[in-house]
Amino acid sequence: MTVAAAPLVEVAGLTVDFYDRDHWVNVVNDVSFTLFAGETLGLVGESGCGKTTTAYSLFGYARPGSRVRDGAVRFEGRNLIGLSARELRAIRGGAVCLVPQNPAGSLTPSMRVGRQIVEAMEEHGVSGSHRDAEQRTVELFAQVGLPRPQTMVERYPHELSGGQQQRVITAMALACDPKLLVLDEPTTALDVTTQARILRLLARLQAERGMSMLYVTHNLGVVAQICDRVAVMYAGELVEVAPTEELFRRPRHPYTQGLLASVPRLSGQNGGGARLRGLLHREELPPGCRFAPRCGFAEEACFTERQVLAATGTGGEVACRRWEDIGEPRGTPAETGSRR
Amino acid sequence: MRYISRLVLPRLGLSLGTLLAVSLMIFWAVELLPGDTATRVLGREATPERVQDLREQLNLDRSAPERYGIWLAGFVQGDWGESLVSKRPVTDVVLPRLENTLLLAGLTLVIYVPLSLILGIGLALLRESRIAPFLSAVVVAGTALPEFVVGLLLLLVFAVWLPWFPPLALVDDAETLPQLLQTLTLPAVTLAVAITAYAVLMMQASLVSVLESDYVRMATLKGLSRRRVVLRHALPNALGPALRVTVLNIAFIIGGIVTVEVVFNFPGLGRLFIDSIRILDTPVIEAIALILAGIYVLLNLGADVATGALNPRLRAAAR
Amino acid sequence: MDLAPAGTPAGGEIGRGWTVSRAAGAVRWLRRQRLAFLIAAGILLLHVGVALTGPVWAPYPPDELLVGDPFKSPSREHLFGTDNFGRDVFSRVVYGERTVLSLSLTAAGLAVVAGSALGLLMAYVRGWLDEVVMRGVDVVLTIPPLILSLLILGGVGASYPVIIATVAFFFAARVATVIRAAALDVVSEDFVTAARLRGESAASIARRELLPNVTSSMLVEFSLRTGYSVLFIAGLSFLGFGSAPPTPDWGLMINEGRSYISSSPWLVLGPSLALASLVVALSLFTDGISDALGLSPFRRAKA
Repeated sequence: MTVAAAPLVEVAGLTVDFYDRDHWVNVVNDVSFTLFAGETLGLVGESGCGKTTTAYSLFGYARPGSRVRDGAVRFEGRNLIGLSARELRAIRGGAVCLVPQNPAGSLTPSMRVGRQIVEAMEEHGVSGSHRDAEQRTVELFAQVGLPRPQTMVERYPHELSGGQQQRVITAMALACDPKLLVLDEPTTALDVTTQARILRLLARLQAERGMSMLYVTHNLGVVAQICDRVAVMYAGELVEVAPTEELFRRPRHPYTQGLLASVPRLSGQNGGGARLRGLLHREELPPGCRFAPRCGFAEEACFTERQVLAATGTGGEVACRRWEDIGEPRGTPAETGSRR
Repeated sequence: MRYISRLVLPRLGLSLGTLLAVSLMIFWAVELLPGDTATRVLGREATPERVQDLREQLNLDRSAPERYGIWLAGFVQGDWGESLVSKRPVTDVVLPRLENTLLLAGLTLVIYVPLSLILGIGLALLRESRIAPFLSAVVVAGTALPEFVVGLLLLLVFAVWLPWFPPLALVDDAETLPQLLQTLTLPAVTLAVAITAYAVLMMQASLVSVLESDYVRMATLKGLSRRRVVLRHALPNALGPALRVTVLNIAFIIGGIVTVEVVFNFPGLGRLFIDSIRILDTPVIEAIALILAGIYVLLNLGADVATGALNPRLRAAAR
Repeated sequence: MDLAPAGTPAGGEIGRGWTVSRAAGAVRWLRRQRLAFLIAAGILLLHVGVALTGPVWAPYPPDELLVGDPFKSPSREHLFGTDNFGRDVFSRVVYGERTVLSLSLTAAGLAVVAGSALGLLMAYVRGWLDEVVMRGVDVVLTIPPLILSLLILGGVGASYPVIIATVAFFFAARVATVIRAAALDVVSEDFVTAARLRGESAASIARRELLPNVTSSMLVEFSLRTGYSVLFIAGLSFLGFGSAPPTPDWGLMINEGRSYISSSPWLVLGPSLALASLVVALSLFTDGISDALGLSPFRRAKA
């Protein structure tokens, strides 16, 4: 990955609000990151942190009831926000494809699965004739490991098992040979074995095709396996971005430290250091650092000063004014005292 | 087809059973009619011997279960007895009226089905636009107005103020098709309005729910045109639940038909029913009640079968 | 492997019981409610007010003949004009309010009480008894209500108790299915199992988990059935199987007035307006409260 190459995706200052009953709620706040060709970026955070909204913005898509208040989402240099419907349609499902969270619910019940893939290919002019498209679908099914692909294409979604549905969805995403694959917690619904299988498949295909991936998840184990870089989100903001190894070895932001500490380890070295306390209360976010209410290192200024991402010198960025003071997570800062 | 045997036959059996139970309820309800039937019918000419004769003729001296059995057996074979008032066979009295009512129902359906589909789909697709709340309000008003009010209003506007249609639906006198349609239009529109509103709301709800589903979002994010998403991914899945309600609403016509026929003086089954109850003409009452109930049960069955046919899940379950 | 769940609501219990925060949320919601709902509630209050206080301020007694010339058009003295007997239509409409509301509310109340009891009982017993009884209920639901009602009323006579009983009978069947479904919904939830495992008694579960959920459904059903009752009973009166003349009943008034519709349409329009406004208001009100209580606002088919 040459640094000089232009990024495939460039998100700059993305800010999205959502209309809840009678007032606007901020879901994503001033998020900026880049994604290069061939790399896999993990986007992690707890439920409701805005990672899904951010991921969907890569399609120029915002959930009904939301508005993009500010920012740009550039794919190959073009800002997706503001593109016409037709231009967006060319990109969606073609250059940028989705592997959604809920495979069973994401397949149209009334249409045979093969057809759903063929129509995507025909829409983007990927395969020549209808016959070619059908043939290619069968090949894709075989590639993703579906048994008896010839018969499988004729099936309806409800006739398939969860794992099979996931593979169909994956095949559908790969059908048009996308440049960017957006995966929205794609393995939550699966058992561990199937999950591993899918991950291996994705890694292989990525190496083969030079595809980029944005992997949205709250599963740190998977992140460690397949992501080149990781971006951590909290309450709609990016708090840390770093190469994977760096992030796991030396997490800088207190939230990231807490996340990693929460993961039970087989080695027995559990706990220690900053534990995540409390819950996220959307109504009570301070104007400064949004994590401050739960942060063991928070000072007065943290609550009022907005935190921005700053380079750490080791290849990552962190949005915390005290990041240099915060030592290794194994140390016990006096203010924490949250050991059980 | 195995589908028929697995899905349809059990339901058919259930429907027949229900019909049997309903016939029992009808018979029981009619038994509640006060007074001694024979005396009532003969009126002034009720001498003891004639009363006794009539009682024998009408099987009134047998026990209730026996009478029920006789009646049911006769009915199934086509013998519906004799009208107590006009002495004519009930079939002669009822069938022409049934024909008229079916005509009315037919025209109502021709209006109702396309109208409710268009409005329901339209409301769902336009739900973000500014005209939506207004249209919704109109539809809600449609559910709130009773059929007789709607009928009378239509009568007022289109038969009195603008004499486009005749106020009395003299169907039997109509000789040409246009004349026939003229007499049928106002009652049919009235009935259609009464039931369309519900179907519209259901169709809209069903389609909105589908439009907000994950698979429609997936289709959109595959870059498919809106037209394709709506026609191939959304509608087929929205029609199923809406269809069921649509057919059930047709069943609701059964109740509305009585009122509408009274409003327009339409010579149909409904008005005959009311008239017969007033003069306590039992055989006619029983026959009409059973016919109407039968149609109602059949329509319910139709709704279930049609829903099953549309849903590949249920079809597969029957394989 | 998952992080601390952020979904647990602040201050609430896990489960769907009514907690203080939930009630407070409902009040806050009410204040932000749609204009339509508030207007509907206002109109309903108006109707209730008329029913309760009408006789006090109605300009004329409802059955006094010839308070004005017959067939007078609406004027300041007679807001809805006079009918063929010279009676003041407006006063009759006002008095009719009491008839309509008392009949409908009673029928709906009876239907909800009986139907809920049956539905809850069946949800509790389950097994073959539940099957049999619910089959019976299905049969009742398959009968066109108007037809059977006309038979009964024609036979026994159209007295108010019989009308109420008949209407309640049909509506109770529908209520039973709805409430039974709501109860089963709750009973099958994991938190009930969890509660049982914690050692809570059936009564306590019933009180804290079952009742609140079922109560919401019951309230919505009551509102819904009242609306349907108004329509149904008005229909019965229109056909002559409801109130008897000279009772000021809207359905009856509409029927009596329809012979004169071409010359004096206000005889029909007055009561029609009252009827329509009541039913529309009830309809919007039902939508509003079912929305507030978190239940689906979809309307079910009539019957």
